[in-house]
Amino acid sequence: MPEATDLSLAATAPDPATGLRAASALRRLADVLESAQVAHARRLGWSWEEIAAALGVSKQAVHRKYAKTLDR
Amino acid sequence: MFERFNAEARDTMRKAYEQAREVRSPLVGTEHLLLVLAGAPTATGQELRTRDITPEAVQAALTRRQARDSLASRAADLFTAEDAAALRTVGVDLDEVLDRLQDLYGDAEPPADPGRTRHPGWRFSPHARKALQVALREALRLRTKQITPEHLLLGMLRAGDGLAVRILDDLDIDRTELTDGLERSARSAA
Repeated sequence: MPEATDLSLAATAPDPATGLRAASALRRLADVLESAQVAHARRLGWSWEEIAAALGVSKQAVHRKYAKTLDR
Repeated sequence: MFERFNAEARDTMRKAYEQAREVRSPLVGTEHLLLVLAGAPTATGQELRTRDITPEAVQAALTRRQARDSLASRAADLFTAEDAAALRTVGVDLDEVLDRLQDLYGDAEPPADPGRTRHPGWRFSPHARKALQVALREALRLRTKQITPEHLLLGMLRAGDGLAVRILDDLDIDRTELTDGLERSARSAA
């Protein structure tokens, strides 16, 4: 019966607030990881094209995001 | 944003923002607030300096922490205890990830938050934001009309997270003793 299923789902499913917070934190963690990796790649002499290819984004996107802060 | 702040507290916030910009931090963190509070000619500044928490001592402790774990400590300031708990529910151990990043990139200068260095604006770290919320709660609890520097520091201490309280721990500060001193100061000023 649909009602019983809804009840059991509500009883066993995690609180959406927690899940959403986890998603937000993972996004921030991904940013930290990406920042560290891009800086590391640049220090090793990788070109923006190579970094973009590895990230699966356009060269323009990665350049726009990082060039100003990394190429000082 | 700071209508409930008294003049000294507003000045504290402005100086903390300037401090963050000066060191090219994309976020205003609790450490910037502590640095400013320690140097201010206020009752709170006196409470701090009486316990040898001077701007120099804070800066030295901050530099030591940043040298010791540059990437991990700066990254850790982006996350609260609630974030860590939430991540645990999906099987991610935040401390472990940050430790791994520290091992891999610890010696390197972490890049500034992209896109935000030029226009930091009023962006607070999650710990600073939480400290401000607790500061407001403290002001209400102590039945004062305005938020003062005492409440800002009490907010940081009661929130319990962030670089500022870690620096106070590094400086061997008894948090309870300091909190009591600040409350007395806050009550007598109200």
